[in-house]
Amino acid sequence: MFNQNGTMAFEIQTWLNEKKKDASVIIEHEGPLTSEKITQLIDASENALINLNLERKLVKRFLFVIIESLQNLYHHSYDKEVLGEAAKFGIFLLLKKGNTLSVISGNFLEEDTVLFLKNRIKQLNALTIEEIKDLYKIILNETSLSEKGGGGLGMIDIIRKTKQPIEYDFYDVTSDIAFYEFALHLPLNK
Amino acid sequence: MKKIEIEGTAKTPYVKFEENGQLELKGRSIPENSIEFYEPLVNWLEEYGANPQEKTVLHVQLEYFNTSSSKCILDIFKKLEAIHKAGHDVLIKWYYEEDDEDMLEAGEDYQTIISVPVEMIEAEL
Repeated sequence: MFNQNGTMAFEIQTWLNEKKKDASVIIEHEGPLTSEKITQLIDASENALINLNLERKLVKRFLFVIIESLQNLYHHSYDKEVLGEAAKFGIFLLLKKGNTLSVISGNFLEEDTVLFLKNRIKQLNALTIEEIKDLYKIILNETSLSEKGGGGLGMIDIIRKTKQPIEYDFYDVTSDIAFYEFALHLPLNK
Repeated sequence: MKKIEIEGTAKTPYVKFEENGQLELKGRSIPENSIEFYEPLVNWLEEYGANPQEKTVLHVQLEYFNTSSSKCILDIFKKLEAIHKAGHDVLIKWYYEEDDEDMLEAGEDYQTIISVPVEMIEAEL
């Protein structure tokens, strides 16, 4: 399906199929995220992680990333209908490919937040682990909670705990709305 | 003043704050809206701080917590810090599971931010 510029219009199913290609799907969610749904997904994820026979500290670490991703979707997913999908639509995937576990989320957001988010992630990914740890303490101590959550701590804490860069992409949906893909790939043996 | 005792849920910790200065936070802290959960606890400490016990001990035994909880936990610690700075004996006991470097590091981070003594205790949670 092509848009007016002759470029491929964003399609959720096409994106999903690409993400799931060659991977084992452990958890998949598509749709609005409620508090109850998040609880169910956390429980399902925890059981799945335990069944992978990981060390307890890794189960907890991966679960932390899963919880932060789900709660980011809860707080930041676009609150109106887009592409026929309900308000607060989000996608969450927990995939296994070889010896890597991937936590992937997707949500619509306003086009004018894309640049801010892109720059933010680039900045954080460029920091050393020591710099991330220092930044974490500064933000923890100096900023207040917004209605939407952790005051920007979430991504910092994810990088701090996993020592993995955040992977991301943005897809134009309309002139005002983009689709934001967040991904973290976690080695299973660290 | 009345004690606070709140049963734990899938997303919020068990809480017991007693007028005798024994305080407990135990379980998981992953609510979507942590301000809603923690505000009454912070308010209780504010009131307690006006006339605290000779010794106040907070036991923190959290399996894990989300980043919005981490801020609220710091708010609680800052209330205890105010009590400590007013010349009263305050101790935070931070429990972490064996090999859980993340929980140990979190406790150490709080240790560097606040002036209340924080004791790290390895335990089975």
